[in-house]
Amino acid sequence: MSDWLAVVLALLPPLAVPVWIAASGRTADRLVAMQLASTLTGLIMVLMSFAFDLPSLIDLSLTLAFLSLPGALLLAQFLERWL
Amino acid sequence: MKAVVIDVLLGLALLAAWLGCFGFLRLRTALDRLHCVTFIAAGAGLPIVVAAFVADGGSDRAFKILLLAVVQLAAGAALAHAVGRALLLRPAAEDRLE
Repeated sequence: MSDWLAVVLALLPPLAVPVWIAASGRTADRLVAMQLASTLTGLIMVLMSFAFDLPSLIDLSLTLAFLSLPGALLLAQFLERWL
Repeated sequence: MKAVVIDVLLGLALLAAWLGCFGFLRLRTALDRLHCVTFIAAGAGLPIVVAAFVADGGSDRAFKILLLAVVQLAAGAALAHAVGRALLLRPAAEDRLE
């Protein structure tokens, strides 16, 4: 097992924290947990790109980073006005 | 030597991620928890960028990872502001309704 893959596996328990909060927490905590999960997932995909030698995974990670911005902004607007 | 440097950088990133998630669990309010997101983006993202450059040199992949880290930090700052504003305005609106 390469070092990169070991770090990917070691990052899975921290990823479980925002997933758990997003599933069971209050509305405001869920929004913040979603941001944390998005950040961690981006980092995990970068590490997976090295672990499995798949350079194209970086594009997926970049796409996630670019799409999470408008998604989280919309959710923040919903939280502010309606939720 | 290169492998040792990469291992140390990955270890730093891992430590930052675990610390950030531990803080996320320990802190009570959503506003406090926003700090943990930024801590992980900066504390884990930057060592991974450096590790990518050490492993790959100046490849396309390394520069994309640098772009990713910059996007995560810049977008994270904007999002933290927007989410923090929403979290502060929401209780104020609830107070007005009562």
